[in-house]
Parts: sequence; structure tokens; C-alpha cells
Amino acid sequence: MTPFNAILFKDLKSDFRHGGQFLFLPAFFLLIVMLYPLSLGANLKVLQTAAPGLLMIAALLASLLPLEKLYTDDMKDGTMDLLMLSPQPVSFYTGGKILAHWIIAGLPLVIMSPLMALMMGLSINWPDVLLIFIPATLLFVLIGQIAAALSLGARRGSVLLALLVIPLYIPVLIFGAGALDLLQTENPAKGPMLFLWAGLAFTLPVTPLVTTKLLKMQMD
Amino acid sequence: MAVFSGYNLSCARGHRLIFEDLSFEIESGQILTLTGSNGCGKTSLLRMMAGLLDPFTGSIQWKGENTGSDFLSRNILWMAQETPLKPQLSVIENLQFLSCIMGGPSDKAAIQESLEKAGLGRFSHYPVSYLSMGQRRRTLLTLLYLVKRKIWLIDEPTNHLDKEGRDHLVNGVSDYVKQGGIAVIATHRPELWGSCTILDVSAFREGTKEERQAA
Amino acid sequence: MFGYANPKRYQALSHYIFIAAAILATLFLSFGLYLALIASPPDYQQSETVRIMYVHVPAAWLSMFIYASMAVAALVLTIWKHTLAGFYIRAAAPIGAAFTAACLISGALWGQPTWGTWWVWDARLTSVLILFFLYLGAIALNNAYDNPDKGNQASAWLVLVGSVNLPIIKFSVEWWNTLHQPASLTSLSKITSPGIHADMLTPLLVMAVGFLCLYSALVILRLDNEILSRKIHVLRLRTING
Repeated sequence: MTPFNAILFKDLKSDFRHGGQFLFLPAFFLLIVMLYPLSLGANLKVLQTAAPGLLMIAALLASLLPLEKLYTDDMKDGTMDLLMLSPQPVSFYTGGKILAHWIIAGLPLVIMSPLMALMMGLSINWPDVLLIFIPATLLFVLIGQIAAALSLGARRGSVLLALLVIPLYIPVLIFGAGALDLLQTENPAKGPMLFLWAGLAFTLPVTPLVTTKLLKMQMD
Repeated sequence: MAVFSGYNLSCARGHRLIFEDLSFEIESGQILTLTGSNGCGKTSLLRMMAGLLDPFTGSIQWKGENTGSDFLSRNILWMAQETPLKPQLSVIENLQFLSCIMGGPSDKAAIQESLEKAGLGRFSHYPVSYLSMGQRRRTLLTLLYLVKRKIWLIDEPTNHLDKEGRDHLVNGVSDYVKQGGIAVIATHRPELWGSCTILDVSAFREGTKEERQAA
Repeated sequence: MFGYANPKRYQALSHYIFIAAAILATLFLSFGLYLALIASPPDYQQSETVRIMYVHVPAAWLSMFIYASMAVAALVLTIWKHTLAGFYIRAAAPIGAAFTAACLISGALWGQPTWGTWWVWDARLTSVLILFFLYLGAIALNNAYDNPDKGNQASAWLVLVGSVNLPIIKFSVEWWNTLHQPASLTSLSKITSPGIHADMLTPLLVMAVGFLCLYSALVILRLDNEILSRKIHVLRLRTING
């Protein structure tokens, strides 16, 4: 067992057996989507025009929820101490943590996304929706990791976390919603969708390193 | 020259010093127990030895050289008062994870074997949430035998332990030091550990430097 | 962290810089305000309301300049662990936020008579609003830890992450803006597109220099405060240590 796997499976198992977030987050996602027709009216035309942005906002909010708990448990019960003293690089830990985080908090949203698009009256191909939601949720997870590590041990962690992370989520929101919007007008949504994937290509390798640095700073 | 030593250590927390001008020296095959009243800095001193806390002043040395993180991560086994066990995972899964990140064996057979030795074999597939505090502590203590290290730093290991668990631990520690290991144990009951050097950390609280120098 | 290098020399120097900056700020701002409010001509389209520009634009420039300077300080702090850089971020962030707020508020006051609305969701305004939130995040993080040094470090990291993100945010917001071009913006492009006349440029530049001097004076005051409060902290530890 490599440290990466060890952490990945530890996080996944403890979440799944906890009656975990992977069930709760899609419910939250659906709940927010349900609020839109209730607040904007059931007129599908209205919903349709607003749907791309609304779906991205719902995914963004759902991505905020798991962030606060991400590292606090490991910090409190002393696991973090042992990780810092581990002979293996801490990046294994953050890498495993990121993948587990996405499987728990990103993948369920991705799977739900075509269904939600359908419910909001968008008539678009489901593979296209997936191609937008996969990089978008990954970016939410990666940026969220950095913010979670940054605010670890801070007072009023959860409010602070939202304040820190939402401005950084803005480009993902814009390109995600833009891509969904362009899909709707049958314009191939290549541009914004590629921006998302490019953002991912940049963020993915940087995040474990930055998160590791931040965790080390928090342990001092 | 002592094998493991610390000189002129002091520890700052917020605006005050918890202890100052503290020094210790240990040879291979010795037990050092840290005693003292609550809040005197036993845990902080242990964390300093583990490299988790930077001393405000002073240095910690191994064979005359300052210990760095590379040395510490390969030679120290840090066992805190907290129990880093995830309640949803089974005993064996938890130990696999911890042993793996500490660079020990992570195959089930080896872990099962050491659990058997500790008398915990029958629990090995239970989720940790079913275990009592004492059983959790004993589960963690099996890591001492799984991961081979030169220095054990153990914080209040007898908390929650019954007599059987305590005897088991005391025997384990004395076997370990007989083989040349070094054990540093923060405890309120130094008499448990047989022949050991006792360091009373509360004697080094702030403002006691002059008193000690006069004496 | 406690062996802060030669604060005395820095403070002696900073004292003179502060006096110079304060005097220059007074001179430039009073001259600039005279130019802006009295000597410069009213705009042929916007008449007198154009005078808001002389506060609005320098505030906008400074809001970006201060964030850039904080990013440099953040880099210095994370790479060389220079404590003063951490103090600088702590000192500069609230001033930067204040200039950003001044920019937003004066923009709203200017927008009402010119565009007939207090707020327009255009790329510039939205970017400045986001910048304001980045400042708030840095301030909040600075004060969120019991250990002020940790607050400074965390804040420095946020500023670094933010400054990497800022061009991306800016780009995305501009892209978003072209996607949802609001109709009311034609009047804005009319204002910004023609080259600015020298009668207006001079007071603008004078005001900008005045703002910069004001900022320098303020940041030195706050920096001195930070150093003093840290000195008290160290002195307390030393007295305890004996």
C-alpha cells in the first residue's frame, strides 16, 4: 500500500461508512435546484435562460459545504502530526486527499448534472454537460483545498472560508455557466469549456504543492 | 556526550514562557520520564523532541548534532495523547493506514500478528467506534512494535489503561530499552517504569533560573 | 521572529519618509483639488460631474497598486521570511480596501448622473468589487489567528493565490461582459474612448501623486504601529524571561 492509496481509501471508507457526504451533497444540489422554480416561477422559458448560471451556483454552493471539515478532523485527532513526521512526502497525503475529496464531493455532482440540466429545461447533450461539470467540480475541489488549508485553525473558519473561496471560484462560475449557455444556443461551446480544462491543467499540479506548504505552515 | 540530548530549552506560549533553561541527556537503553504538574509543559517538551514545536531557545541533539526533520521522520516514534483512529474504520484498517504513513509494514498479516501479541486479535475487524478508550489506546500502542524506531516519545500512555494493559506496556518499554532503545515518557506515575531518569519539568517554570543557579 | 533586524534604524528613517510623504500629500492634494474643482473645465457631455473622476480614477489606480505591492511583500515573506513584509501586508490591506471602497462609492456617485443608475454590472466595476473582496479576505485572515505571525503568513499566501488569480478573474469577467453586453453601456464607451484632454489629465496626475503620497504616509503610520505592538510583545517575553 502506498501512502497515496492509504489516504485515499481511508478517506473514502470513512466517508462511505459514515452515511456520507456522497449521498448528502447530491441531495443538497437537488434541493437548491428545486428552490429556483419555487422562487422564479415554474415558467420553463424563464428557467431555461437562467439555468446555466443557476446550475453552476448550485454546484458552487454544494462544493462549499465539505471544505471546512476537510482537514479539521485530522488536525484535531493528531493524524496531521504523524503525517508531518512521516518519512514520505506530505504531497502524497494532499494528493490522496484531493482525489478522495473529488470522489466524495465532486463526482456525485457530475453524475447529477445532466439530470439537473434536464429539470431546468435545458435541451442539451448529456456528454457535453459532463465535459463541463467534470473540470468545474475538479476546480471547485482544488481551489477549495487551498482555501481549506489556508483557513485551518482560524477562528470562525466556515464564514471565513466562504469569504476567501467565493472570489476565487468566480472564473470557474463564469466559464462553466458560459459554456452551458453556449451549448444551449447550439453554438459549440469549445471556448469556455476549453478555458475550464486549461484552468484545470494549470491548477491540478500546483494544488498539492501549495496545500502541502500551507499545512506545514499551519503546523508550526 | 549523550546520545540524545537537549540544552537550554525554553518554550513560549502566547506571551509567557512555560519552561526555561531546561536541559536533558539520555543514553541508549534508558528511560526518561517527564513529570510535573498540569500545564508545566511536558507535552510541549515532547513535541519539541519530535520536531513538531520549535524551541524558543536552545537545541535538541542526536550524538552532538542538531536533529533535523529528515532524522526525526526516520528515527522517532511519536505517540500523542490524542488517538488518531478513525471511528468508522476497523482496527486493522486504521493500523494499516498509520503504519503505512509512518513507514512501517502495511500488510494485514503483520498487523494481525502484532494485534494478537497485544491481546487484541479478536477485535481486529471491529470498527474502532465499538472500542473503549482503553482498547483504542492499546490499539495505538501496537504501533510501537510495528514501526521500528530508535526513540519512542510517548505522552501519558497509561491514561485509560487497565492493569493488564499497563503491565503489557511497561514490559514492552523495558524490553525495548534493553535492546538499546530510548524511551521518553510523559507520565504522572514515574514509579511504574522501573529504573528511569526522572525529569521534573515544573522545576523549570519561568523565573526559576536564578533560584536554580543559587542552589 | 523575535530578532527583528534593526527596527531603530528603520524607524528613524521611516520618520523622515513619513514627514516628507505627509507634506507632499498635503501639497499635491490641495493643488490637485484646486485644479480639479476650480481650474479645470467642465466636460462638454457630463458638465460638472466629471470632477468626481479626479477622486475616482486615482483611487482605482491605488487599489490596484496597493494589491500589487502586497503581492510583492507576500512573495518576500514566503521566500525570505522577512518579518517586515508580513507587517506590510497587515498595514496595507485595510488602506487598500478603503481606496477600493472609495473607488466603488465614487463610481456609484458618478454613475447615477451619467448613466442614470448607481450600479452597472460591467467588467470594470465587477472586477473592482471582486478586488474589494480579495482585500477583505486578506484582512480577515490576518486577524483570524491567535498567533499574529501565522495570520500574516496565511494572509500572504492568500494574496499570492489572489494575485495569480487576479488576471484570470479579470479575463473571465471581461469575457463574461462581452457575453452579456448590457445596452446601457454605450454612454460609458463614449466617456472612455476619446483621448483625455490635457486640462483634465494634469489635475488627474497631480491627484494621483497626492493619493500615492497620502498612502505612503498612512502605511508608514500603520507599519510603525505594527512594529511597536510587536516590540511590546517581545519586551513582555523578555521581562518574563529575565
